[in-house]
Amino acid sequence: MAILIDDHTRLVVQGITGREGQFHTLRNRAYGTNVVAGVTPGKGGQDVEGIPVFDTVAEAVERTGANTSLIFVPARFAAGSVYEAADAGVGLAVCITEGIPVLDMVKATRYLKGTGTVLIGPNCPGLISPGKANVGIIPGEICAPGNVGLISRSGTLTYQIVGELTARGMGQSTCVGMGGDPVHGIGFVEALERFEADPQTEAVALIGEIGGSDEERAAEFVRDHLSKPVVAYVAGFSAPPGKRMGHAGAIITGSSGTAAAKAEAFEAVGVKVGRNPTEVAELLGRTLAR
Amino acid sequence: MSTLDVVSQAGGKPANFLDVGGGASADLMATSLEVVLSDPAVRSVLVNIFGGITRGELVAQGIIEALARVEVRVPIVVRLDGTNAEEGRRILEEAAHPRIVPAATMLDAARRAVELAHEEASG
Repeated sequence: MAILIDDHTRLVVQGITGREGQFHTLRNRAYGTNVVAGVTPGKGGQDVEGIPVFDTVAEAVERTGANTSLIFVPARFAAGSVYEAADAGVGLAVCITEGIPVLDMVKATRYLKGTGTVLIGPNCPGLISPGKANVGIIPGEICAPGNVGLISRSGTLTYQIVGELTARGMGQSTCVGMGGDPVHGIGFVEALERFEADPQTEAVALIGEIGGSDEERAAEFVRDHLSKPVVAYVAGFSAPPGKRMGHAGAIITGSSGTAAAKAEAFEAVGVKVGRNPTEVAELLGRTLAR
Repeated sequence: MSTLDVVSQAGGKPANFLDVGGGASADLMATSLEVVLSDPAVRSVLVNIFGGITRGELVAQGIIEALARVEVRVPIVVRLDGTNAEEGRRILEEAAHPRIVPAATMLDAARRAVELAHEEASG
């Protein structure tokens, strides 16, 4: 098992003929992901190193049975690509694109509620179920199959902590980058719910940062619904209030959204919080050794 | 942002914070370094990259370009991991610039950057 993607994933890449789209599609395929199609309007009939390109997602789904979509479309068209993926009936859409207008995402996430499509991102690294499938830009070589589930608001911190886990012999079931935007698809709660139900996952690493209240809601969910141990990390203890720190959603507003408040919320429900990425891996190591 | 936290934990005080974002090109990397180095308060520079969409060789080329464009008066500690990181590290090694200090891990890089900043300040 794993969550969201596995051996049954059949991937269509929207924006496959772009620079990043092509580079990462081929890396995902080299990892072993079953990349069945690409979409670029107007380039239907071409192929990218043998991967057939279609004009629409609907056509790609009909012809190849794609069930997951990866979006590398420029920001001003990206929300449209999310609608298109949903309308074509893919179960999971993963949007890597950074810089999509917040209002576009407010409308898109609302639209998805009436469909069977789950969104990851935008402004995210995608996700990987090591040994099974890699959908997005997470470097596959730093991961290993195992029993730690990981959910993160930061791409770089995902890599950092996955790297630390793998180096200590702790593999991962699925690593999900939920992205750094204030309005996004799957969050901590939705991922925790899936990890709790996934027999492969024995512990969860949760990587948060300043801004918003996703971490506080995650802490409540852990308290009420999780039997598996969770170790958390919160970036931004030294972040000044009122400044946007790298991600659109990473901002301390007034007295809320601070790293200290988030760490406290976790500790109050028995979730251990690492002071740095290395300590998160060490805490997980001790948790799993018990 | 986590980089700021580990610098603080290592006893340093970040002068500024520049997130190069996903998919930084060599030119963006070079310009970023120029901006950071323009602050006279800066005693050392920490470049901490674990690239997904960001490619290690482009980061390395950007650092080399910046070294050619501006006078670098402080040490630059570079920690490079992730996509094409090996190629990036090789480029930096071949350049063998006296101001470039390679570091293996994020925590090592933060400690080294803080140590060097203190040395610069006292020396």
